[in-house]
Parts: sequence; C-alpha cells; structure tokens
Amino acid sequence: MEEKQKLICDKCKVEMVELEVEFSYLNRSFRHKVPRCPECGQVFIPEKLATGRMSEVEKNLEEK
Amino acid sequence: MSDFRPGGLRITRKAMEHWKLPRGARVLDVGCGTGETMEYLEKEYGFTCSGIDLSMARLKEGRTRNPGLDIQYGDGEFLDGFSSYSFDGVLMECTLSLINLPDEALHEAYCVLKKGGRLFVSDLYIKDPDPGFVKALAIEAERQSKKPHREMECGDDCAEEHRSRPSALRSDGRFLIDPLIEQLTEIGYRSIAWEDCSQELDNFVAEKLMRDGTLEGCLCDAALHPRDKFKTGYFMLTAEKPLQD
Repeated sequence: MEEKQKLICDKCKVEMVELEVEFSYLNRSFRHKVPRCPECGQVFIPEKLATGRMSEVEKNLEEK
Repeated sequence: MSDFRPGGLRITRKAMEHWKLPRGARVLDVGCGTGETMEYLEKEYGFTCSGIDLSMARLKEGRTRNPGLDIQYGDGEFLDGFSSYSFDGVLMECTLSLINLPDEALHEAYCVLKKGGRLFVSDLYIKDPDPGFVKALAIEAERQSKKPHREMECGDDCAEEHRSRPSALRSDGRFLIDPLIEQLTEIGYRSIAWEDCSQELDNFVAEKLMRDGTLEGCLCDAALHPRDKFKTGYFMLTAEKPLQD
C-alpha cells in the first residue's frame, strides 16, 4: 500500500496538517481543508486541487 | 446539518437578533432535519424547541445522536398536532420551497404562534423578476388552484411535482418577494422585514464545489448554476403575529 507523503514546512521544519482555510475570490469566501503549517500558517495547495475544483469554483463565481 | 442550507447558522443567528425572544421561549422548527438548529437554539438562547420533518431517515439520525430531542414526523402544511397560540417562534429554513402549498404553511404557522410570536423564513428567491412573468404566474396559479388535486395523482417524484406546481409566491422552488410579503400581510403578519443573503448562497456553492466537485445532490441544484435563467438569490425574512387583532 502506498504510504501517504508527509509535507514539511520549509520555513519551520514541522509537519503540515490538514486544516480548514478560508479562501476569498471576487468578494466571496469559502472554506476548505488543505495542508497548513501549524506554526507559520503557510498553506500548500496541491496542483490537482488548483487546476481542478478550485478552478471550477473560480469559473463559477466569474460567471455569476 | 442539512445538505442545503446556505449560511449555516450565521443566518439563524441574524434572525435571532431580530426575534429578540427571551430564554424559555417555545420554538417550532418546520423542516428540522436532524435537529441540529434546535440543539443550537436550546444551548445558545435557552429556547424550548420542537421540530417536524418529512424525512424519517433524518429524524432517526437526530434521535440517535440526541434522544432528548423533541422531533417528530410532520408536514408544515398540517400543524394540527400543535395547539393554537402555543409557540413564541416558528422557523422554516430552506423548507418553504419544498412545501406543496407555501401559503397554507405560512397560515398554519400563524395559527400556532402566540400573539406577538415571530416567524423566520430563509429560502431561494428570484432577483428582479420581470413584472410580466409575475403577472403570468399569478394568473396560472389562480387557474391551477381551481383544479382539484387528488391523492395518488403524482408520479414517482412527488416532492419535485409539488415544488414545480405554480403558486403566485413561488416558481421552480424560488420565491417572489413582493407576492410573498403580500401573502404574509394578508394572513395577518406585521413587522415584515427581509434582507438579501445571496452572498451566502455563492459561498455555499463554492464550498460544495470544493468539497464534492459537483452541485448535484443539492435540492434545486439548477438554481445554483451560474447560468441559472432566474438569477436566483437567497433571502431571510422575519415577521410578527400582532399582539392585537
């Protein structure tokens, strides 16, 4: 079985954890869980999410 | 929590600021689902809540989570199981659009409210409807209301048929604000105040797309599509049953 990769924050050298983050776009905001550094708050957006669902959301809000 | 309730408890909290009901107030949640709003209102505001819903599965889920919840099977159109003048507040969050006869449900709520009692409704609405469309809808609703509707006439999706049945207040599960306010006034409600909460609907759509990757599975998912022909928004409304007739 494939082991889940650990993500380490480059600045704080601690493991990133899945936390709910608020995103804002075109004066709308939405929350979603993404890997986040528990110390400095830096988030990691996986490419698949950015080009997939997140792009869908942007398109949806732009068309409104 | 309901799979379809934009704004979550934020809109509920805003409505409670309008209600200003004291601790111990009796509140009925029409379309209570698993009773999470009731639990919140009991904990945060000290209300004594009862709830009804048409989904046995959601009622069971609620009872399993909290056996102390006063929730039962029931339809907002028929509140005969409750005494008149027995509640200080009635709420219908994202429920009225699913009720067969919304005007009847608003009237029933009025009957079970005490004098001075409050109503809170949140639901989908059509922004800036064309006046010709509003007029045509009223004529069609009047025509349809004269046709008798018998039991067993509905097809497989009874709820969908009821939702799309013409009503002067509602089209395709979305309300028209002016006719809705006229209807509330005719029933007897006063101090009617509504506000647009459409931003919460957009946020809800964004969160649903991020979580599930699709809008399917939501009630009235056509209303959430950016190219929705009606320009659907979301509203909250509060009203009061006057202290004097």
